[in-house]
Amino acid sequence: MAGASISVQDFVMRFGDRAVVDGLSFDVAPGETFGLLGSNGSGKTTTIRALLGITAPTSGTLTIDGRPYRPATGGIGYLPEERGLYRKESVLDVMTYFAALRGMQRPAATAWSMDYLARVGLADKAKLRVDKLSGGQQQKVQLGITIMDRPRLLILDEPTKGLDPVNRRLLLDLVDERKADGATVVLVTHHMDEVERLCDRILLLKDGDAAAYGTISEVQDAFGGAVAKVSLSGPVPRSPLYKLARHEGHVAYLVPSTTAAPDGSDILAALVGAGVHVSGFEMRKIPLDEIFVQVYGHDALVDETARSTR
Amino acid sequence: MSRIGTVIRFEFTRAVKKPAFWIGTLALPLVVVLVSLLVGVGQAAGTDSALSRASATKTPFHYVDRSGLVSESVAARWGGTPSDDESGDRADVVAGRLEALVVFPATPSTESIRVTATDRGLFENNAYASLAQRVLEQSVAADVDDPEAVALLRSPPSADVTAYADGRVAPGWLSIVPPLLYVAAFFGLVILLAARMVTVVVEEKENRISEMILTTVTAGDLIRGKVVAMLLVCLVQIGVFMVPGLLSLVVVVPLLAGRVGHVTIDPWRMLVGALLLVGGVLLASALFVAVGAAVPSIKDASALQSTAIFALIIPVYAAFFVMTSPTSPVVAFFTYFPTFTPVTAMVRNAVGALSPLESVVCIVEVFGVAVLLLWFAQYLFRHSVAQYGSKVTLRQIASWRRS
Repeated sequence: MAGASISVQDFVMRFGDRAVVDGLSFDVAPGETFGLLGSNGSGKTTTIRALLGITAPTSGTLTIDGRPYRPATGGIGYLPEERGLYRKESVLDVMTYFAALRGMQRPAATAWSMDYLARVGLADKAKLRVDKLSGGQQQKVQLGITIMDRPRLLILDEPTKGLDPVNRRLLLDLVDERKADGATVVLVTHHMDEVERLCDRILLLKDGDAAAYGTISEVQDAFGGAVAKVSLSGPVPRSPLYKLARHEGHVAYLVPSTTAAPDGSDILAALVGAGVHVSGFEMRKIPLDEIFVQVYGHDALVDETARSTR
Repeated sequence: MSRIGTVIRFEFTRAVKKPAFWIGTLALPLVVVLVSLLVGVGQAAGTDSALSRASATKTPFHYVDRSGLVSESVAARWGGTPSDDESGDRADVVAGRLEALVVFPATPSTESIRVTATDRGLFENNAYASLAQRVLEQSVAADVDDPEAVALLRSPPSADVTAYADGRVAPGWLSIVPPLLYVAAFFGLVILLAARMVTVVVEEKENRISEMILTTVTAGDLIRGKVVAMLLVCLVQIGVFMVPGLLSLVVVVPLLAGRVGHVTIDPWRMLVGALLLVGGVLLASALFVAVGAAVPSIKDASALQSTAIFALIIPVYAAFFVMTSPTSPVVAFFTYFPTFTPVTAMVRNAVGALSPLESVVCIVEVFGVAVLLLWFAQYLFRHSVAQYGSKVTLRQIASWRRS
């Protein structure tokens, strides 16, 4: 199965006089897993809603497979951030209703739904009303509705929000399967480990515009490329060779300055020379969560960390 | 099945499969039948009602006859004795020593008979009036030899009027009954539809389903599907309500036919009424859908929903005025004010006070407003679909138009 392609060009969304998204452009290739990242209010959900035709853009072109999306087109599985189900109906009735709206025949919809419910441990709940399920169980049903009928494009907005670790793993496995099947996946999340595990490319949205865009490696390079992960005891001394990004317990992350050696040898020497007891030292690509902090709250975090180490 | 068909099937099925739906639907006709049976049984058992006790019976009373028409023998048959002392007898009645004092005036045709009596109760006190009237009536009849004249004295003759319009017999007052049934049907449908339409539209937003569902079906198809489904549900309810109604007609029509003649059915008025009813129900549905689309939850809908119901049925309370003063400027305003049009036009149509041109204008207006309102409801729903916590405001609607 070939996944769908996405193109967003010069997308602007205004609510009254306020621009929530301002001239955003990006593309998602067929079969790609794309991470749409950003802090709360950065315009991620607004972009998804406009892409799916739920809200009309102020200007710009948003297409799926070269055309603006219409429900009649189909082939989309969308798990929105704000999600729910028909609470007074049975689990199976709700699933088969959505299946019918996607064009599935009733026997096939029922069979698929029962298979899915068995897989996620809810087979015995099929005839129960939705409001009799726990929150986590309802989320499993929502995910089932999202992935039914093998969608070519899967858009998941904060899919693991509120899930326990077991259900989170189950969800990510199901997404992996859709990926393996060739589907395009757009993942909106705050969890950088999910992004690193699943995404081929990412877009960091800030104030309605792209703060970073590319493969994970490209974005890491754009943000300095490397970071020194140091296991140590005691405070981190100031040095022109690095900038302290974070200090959690016995681990500190140091962003090398342009004058530092690429392998970090002079940073290590400086630390040892200053009397710091270093038990571990590793130069690695800057982690995504570090980039996230740099984009959305780096200054405040560095200031706070610096104050605590003086 | 098309998407709109899928929506109709889902919404209709889940409404009619709930036990609460059938309990609510069957309860009304059952209660009507049960109450009717109880009343019928009570009457058949010959219960002594307050009204029956209000008819004239032999009662000890004194009377003063200033008319000279009262026969002593007739009065005596009803328990009457001529009064020797009017003021003393009145004092006896007040003191409870005498049951009643009746004073027949000099000219009973223009003056009232005065009765002073001991209280028997709200309804039973009418028995004194009946007694006085019977005594006078029978006294007068006793002096008339002609039985026909006596019969006419006791009950006035009936008159059968046959009026002509354009060379044809004009329909009588019974002709307004069939087209007026449309007003009753509209009133009932508005009450039935209101909560159902609002609930079914607001549900998607309240339960956070709207975004998921709008990737599979357009807002227009979703709204139209829901409206059709709810109208079908109402048809089922009407069908259930009509069973006892039709049974009643089978019993009542033959009884009425003998007393009031034949009910005239004017095909034009029936057609106009039917179109106004259909258009009116569509308009009401669209109005309720718009209410549902503008609010985030059913709890927030109550005030707007009540306003919408009020806006549709308020002319019912002015129906008599509309019937009797169809040319009044107020009635003209009621006729063309969109939410008042269905009821006002149906009432005017029932009494034959809606010209063919006015009928066409009203029908077109009702259907046109219904379509516009439905479009507006879709517009509201689509734009506020992700607005989960607050009502849509006029300011927001204006900002949607600008952006």
